[in-house]
Amino acid sequence: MTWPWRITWLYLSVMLLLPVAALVAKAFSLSPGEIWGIATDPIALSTYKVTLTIALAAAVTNGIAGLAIAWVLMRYRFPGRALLDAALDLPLALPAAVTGLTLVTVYGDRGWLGSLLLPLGIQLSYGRLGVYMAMLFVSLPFVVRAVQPVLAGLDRSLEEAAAGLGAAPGRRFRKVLLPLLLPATLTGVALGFARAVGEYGAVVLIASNLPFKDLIAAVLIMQKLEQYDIAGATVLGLVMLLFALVILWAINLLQARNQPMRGDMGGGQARTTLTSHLHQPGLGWQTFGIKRFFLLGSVLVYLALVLIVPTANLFFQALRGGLGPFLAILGQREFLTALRLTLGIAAIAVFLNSAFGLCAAWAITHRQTRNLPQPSRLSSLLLSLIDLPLSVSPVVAGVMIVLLYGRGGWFSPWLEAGQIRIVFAWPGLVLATAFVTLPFVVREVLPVWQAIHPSQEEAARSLGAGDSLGSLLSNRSIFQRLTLPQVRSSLGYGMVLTYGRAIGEFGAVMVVSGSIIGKTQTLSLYIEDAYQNYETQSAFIAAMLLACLTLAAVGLRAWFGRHQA
Amino acid sequence: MPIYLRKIAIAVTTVLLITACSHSWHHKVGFLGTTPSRELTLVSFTVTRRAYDRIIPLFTEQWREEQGESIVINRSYGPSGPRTRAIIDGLPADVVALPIAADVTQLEQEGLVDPGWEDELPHGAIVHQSLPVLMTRSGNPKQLQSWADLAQPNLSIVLTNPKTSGVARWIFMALWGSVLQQQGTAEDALTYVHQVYGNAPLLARDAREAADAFVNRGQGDVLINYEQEAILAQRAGEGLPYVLPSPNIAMGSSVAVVDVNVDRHGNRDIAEAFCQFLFTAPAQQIFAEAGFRPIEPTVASAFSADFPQVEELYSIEDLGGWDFAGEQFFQAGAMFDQMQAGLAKP
Repeated sequence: MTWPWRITWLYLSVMLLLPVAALVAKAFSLSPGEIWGIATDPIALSTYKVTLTIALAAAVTNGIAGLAIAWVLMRYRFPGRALLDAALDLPLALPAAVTGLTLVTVYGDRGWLGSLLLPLGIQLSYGRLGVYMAMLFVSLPFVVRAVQPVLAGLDRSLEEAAAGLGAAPGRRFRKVLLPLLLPATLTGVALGFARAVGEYGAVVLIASNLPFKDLIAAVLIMQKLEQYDIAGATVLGLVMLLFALVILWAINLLQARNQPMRGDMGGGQARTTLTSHLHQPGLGWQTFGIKRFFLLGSVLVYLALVLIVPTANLFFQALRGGLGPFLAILGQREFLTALRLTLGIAAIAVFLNSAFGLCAAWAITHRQTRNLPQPSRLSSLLLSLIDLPLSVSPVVAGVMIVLLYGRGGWFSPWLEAGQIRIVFAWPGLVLATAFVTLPFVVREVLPVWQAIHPSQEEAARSLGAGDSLGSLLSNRSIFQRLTLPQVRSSLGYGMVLTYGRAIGEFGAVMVVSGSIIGKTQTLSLYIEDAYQNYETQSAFIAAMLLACLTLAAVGLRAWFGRHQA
Repeated sequence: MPIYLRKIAIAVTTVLLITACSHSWHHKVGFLGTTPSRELTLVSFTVTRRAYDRIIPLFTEQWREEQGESIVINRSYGPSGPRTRAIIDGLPADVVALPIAADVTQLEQEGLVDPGWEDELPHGAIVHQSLPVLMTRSGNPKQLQSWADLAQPNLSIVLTNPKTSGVARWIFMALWGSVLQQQGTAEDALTYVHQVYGNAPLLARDAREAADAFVNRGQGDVLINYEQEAILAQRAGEGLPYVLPSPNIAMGSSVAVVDVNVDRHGNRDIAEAFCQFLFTAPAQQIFAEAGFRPIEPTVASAFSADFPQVEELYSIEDLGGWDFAGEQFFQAGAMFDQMQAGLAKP
């Protein structure tokens, strides 16, 4: 095995496999009969059904909408496009509790949108529709973000050729574009589905949480945890984990089968990214006309419903008290320590997961140097494992870490002997945050490397890159000059996503933090604390700052991108 | 090294440096060689924050005057269930203040709190009390006066889930006890709680979310809540009317020293002094101002106007105690689960 593989597996073992093993072991401390009883309890069965169907509905809705959104963002020019593009990452960055609070203020019976729909007999909150809206929100970015790079790299000459051969726009879309965009869309749907299945914080506030009505699995797991039923919670966590793993693996296998095609297309991508500036968006203007405005209009309406109005509401709630409370929060010591802790943890998580992400993506794409059986199946299993943290309910992620490092956990004898504190101190916060943000860098970097033909590296090698200093250095030189620069944009984006999710993480952090004010209280826990103490205004102000921190990171990435071009 | 990599490295290093510097600045005293001050960690349930944030400075000031030592008291507030869970998992709490004695008993069973903690402090280690009240819409349009009124059909009651919330267990016991205390049978009580929980449009996670759903989202005709929440809302001038039904259950909050942790941290003297301080008049007065019924007699009589007497007041012991209640009602598969399954099935 090459060293990137070793690092990949080592990191995965520590961060992912070991915690999952602890979860499995805890669940199997019960007898098989008890496990079966808990897993097939009528209430549990109803939560699987509710969770999976609503999550699937939300993921598919976002699959269709996401395709349209990505298309509009990439091909159309309209005022506010860049801001909208940046705002699409907010659902990842906002702490789940803030999301829930914002959504319930908008969709609730007295909310901006909820009150409009109530006279029509549609109640957006406290029912399955509310759960659906919350899941739509949290799974919104995935399809858009998966499709965007593919659209950017698409060879326009294909469409032009089809147009030249007389294909109507609809036919061009179905026969030429859709097959090229489908794999990325499927990936996005899978990730969105995984995220929706695991969501807790955004749903718990907007749902009535009545069994058989709209109680979802993540909420039931949390209820079990809160009444000390750890084993019961782990059984349910495990069932949901298996569902997610099977679905992710199936989709990743489907992807692996499509790979030869992606490789070809990617060849085009490498070419067209260089020349795409030369293309004018003229084609779209002439051929679409009214349809174009109809598409733009419906995309904007959809985004307004799901993203823009809730975000605007967040800013409105935060600023309606004027600047005074805003400045008071900025000067508050508790807030500042929480901010510092959050940024520190996010920085470490970004560093760890970027290093791991590069290693894992490199290892998967450069597998021709190894002799492993059926590499594609192994890679898709590995990928499904890497995706897993998205679909694990963050609360369960926190429990896994506690099972390992907490009092009475697997490592507690050594930790106590060495007087080392991991949970309820910053190392535990780092572990939890790194766990939930594990997939982002790999997921961003991998498609780019997959799309690049190995012949490019071979060409560089044959042209004598670093030839004189031996093969190791030669490989490094190729890596630095060719392989790494190709992914700098997607690496940057992966880092931004990791950072955004890290600063907003709530569920996992809540379990491992203990929320000691000024010590282990992160920003998202500070927000929860403020909300619980009826300081709703402070909660919204801190949440708005969190949103701004994410937007700033997106902006910073754009700045990096401009200077390297 | 390519320029963009260098930029990323600079950005990451800067963030780490800022974090590290501000952190060491924060603990400068310790770094310069002087011994850092001793610390104590208090873990308490959410709604008590208003009181403890004011009591703690009083205590540290008193400790400094009497002992000549400045100490730091760390605070962690949150829902009682998860906080108890966290302490069991290793959260280094030295003193706990929890809404139900059952939570402290849980710590006792885990060997963290020594048995007999109830007798180490005055009043059975109960530091303040509260009562469940019925908050209604203004003018009380549904004319709700007693527990029995809650069972009428076509009424919508905002309730909290006893599986997740301490106060919700109290409320469940208050509903249950309202029948038993008026010579009802367990069977009558079962029918009654079925009717009441059948009237719930939602089960909130905790008291805060229930209040939010009722006050800000317009859900339900009535909310069963802590008395102190109702008092505070009324003092703030945005209160809704509330009814104090009788018979009623006295919800006592317990405090205890976490013996294992104080012995490890070497701060037992502070922890014990702090617990005692909570029962003194200055601390009790702050509790009363925060809306909790004080336990200390002189303070209680001073605030008697704020806390009307209930004709018939009983305690959890009258209903068999928390061990019994947990087994009967709240365990997985026990009565509450059965009732939920029965209510929701079409």
